[in-house]
Amino acid sequence: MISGNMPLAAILSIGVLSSKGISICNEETIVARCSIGFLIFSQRSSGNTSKAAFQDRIGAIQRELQQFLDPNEVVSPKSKEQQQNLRISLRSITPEIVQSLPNETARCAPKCERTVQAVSCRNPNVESATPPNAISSRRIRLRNNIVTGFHSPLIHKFAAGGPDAKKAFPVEPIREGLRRLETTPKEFIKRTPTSEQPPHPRRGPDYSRPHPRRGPDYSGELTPSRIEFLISGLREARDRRHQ
Amino acid sequence: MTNGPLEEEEIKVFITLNSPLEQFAIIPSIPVKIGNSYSPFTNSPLFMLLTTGLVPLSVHSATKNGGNLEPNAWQSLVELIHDFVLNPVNEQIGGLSENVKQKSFPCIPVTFTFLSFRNPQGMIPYSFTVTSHFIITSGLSFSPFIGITLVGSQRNGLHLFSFLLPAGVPLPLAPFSVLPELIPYRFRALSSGIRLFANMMAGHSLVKISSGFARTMLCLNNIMYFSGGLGPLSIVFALTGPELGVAISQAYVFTISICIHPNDAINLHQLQFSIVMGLKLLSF
Repeated sequence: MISGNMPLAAILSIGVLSSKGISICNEETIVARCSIGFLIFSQRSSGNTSKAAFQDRIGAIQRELQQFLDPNEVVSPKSKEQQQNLRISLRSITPEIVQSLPNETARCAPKCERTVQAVSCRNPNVESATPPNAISSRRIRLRNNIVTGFHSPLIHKFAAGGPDAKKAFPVEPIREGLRRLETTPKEFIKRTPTSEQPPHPRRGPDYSRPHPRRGPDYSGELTPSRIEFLISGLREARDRRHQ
Repeated sequence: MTNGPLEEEEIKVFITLNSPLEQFAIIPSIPVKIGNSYSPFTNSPLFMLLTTGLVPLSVHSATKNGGNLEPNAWQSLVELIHDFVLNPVNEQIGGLSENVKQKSFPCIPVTFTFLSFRNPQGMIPYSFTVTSHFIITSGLSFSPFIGITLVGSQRNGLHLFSFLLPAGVPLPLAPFSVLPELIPYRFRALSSGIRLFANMMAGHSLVKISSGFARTMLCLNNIMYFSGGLGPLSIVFALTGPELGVAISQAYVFTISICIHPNDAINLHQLQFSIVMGLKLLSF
């Protein structure tokens, strides 16, 4: 009812204002009023469409971020102190990774830092009481996601063979650190029996070939001590690169 | 409807009529005199500074600290503008020169953002449309054109002129083909500038003419004139949307034309050359 009477009210108000010379005194005010009226009209007619488009986009981004989390995993309560320590340890990796990036990527350092933080700090919420095979598969997936996430957008920049290519790929310090995890002392590795390891994605649950480099009992869990070892590996790789 | 001499109010209305081209007048804002030269700071650079100051500020505030992983509406808008410009860059500046694409990309979204915020600026009351002056638009179109020609000549040397030779033309006809082709090559930049300037000037002039007509009819205190004045008023209302659309579409067209130049000047006839050579080899 009100929206139907809007044009009539507008015409009457224009008539009154123009007869008195109030606010319709020159062309600029007419153009301004028509622009404001057009914006209000377009907001009423298609404002929900644009809002829905933005919401769809935000939803799609949220779904992509949720892929880092397995939706079937269940979070059960764990000691808060242990969780907090693990969260702090995981966050401490982030500056090391960001510092190892070449200068050209330093511009996106805050975003990279946030990405690594968001990816790595989801772990403490999930790893607390989930089954070990789910944790280990997620660890492996997370590690590969972090490495790939830094590798793929930068490979186009450094693959041309120009002066940038002479600098090390930012993924190298990460891989160096992760490679060191293979040679970690035995007490840092939680031994998980082969039967509790995650099933091979293609060869089925009965496939039991042990990892060629890491041995049959490698579980892939990121314990705080292993995280410290990883950080020291990253530092060594960075120092070696700067020499 | 009055049949006698014009009333005082009607005379006042006619006297205070503004020309529709007055909105394009250059008005000195800050007089600056250096020796014998008088170089005032006019409304044109003032509005340029406003745009170049406000737009980066708003983009910076929308993407503070690198932005959020889950963007809000403003950050989404900035990202959409970035993706909107990235598509023509990837499509037009393609081929073998990946480096050229990356090096020329920063200039292109800046140009698009600059134009898409500056073109509709004339719809704001008492503002100034910077791109309604040919000197500005020709500067915008010729500067990348000259730069790309210099880069193309640096990369390809005299082989750059092979772009002006259409594929399949025999060699004896080359001088008669290359020299006339120089004229349309230069006219590409000129046409970009003229297109933008003409669209902005014509569109804003039309809006101002219609609004002046509406104002004249509405302010005559006569019911007949008032009812007639609603027509031009509705025209102004209806023109607002298309004028905003033209402003943004002209910015996009200008950006596309900038994207086409690097591909032609640097890649030349890469695809055509390879096809022609391949066909020649097959014929042997």
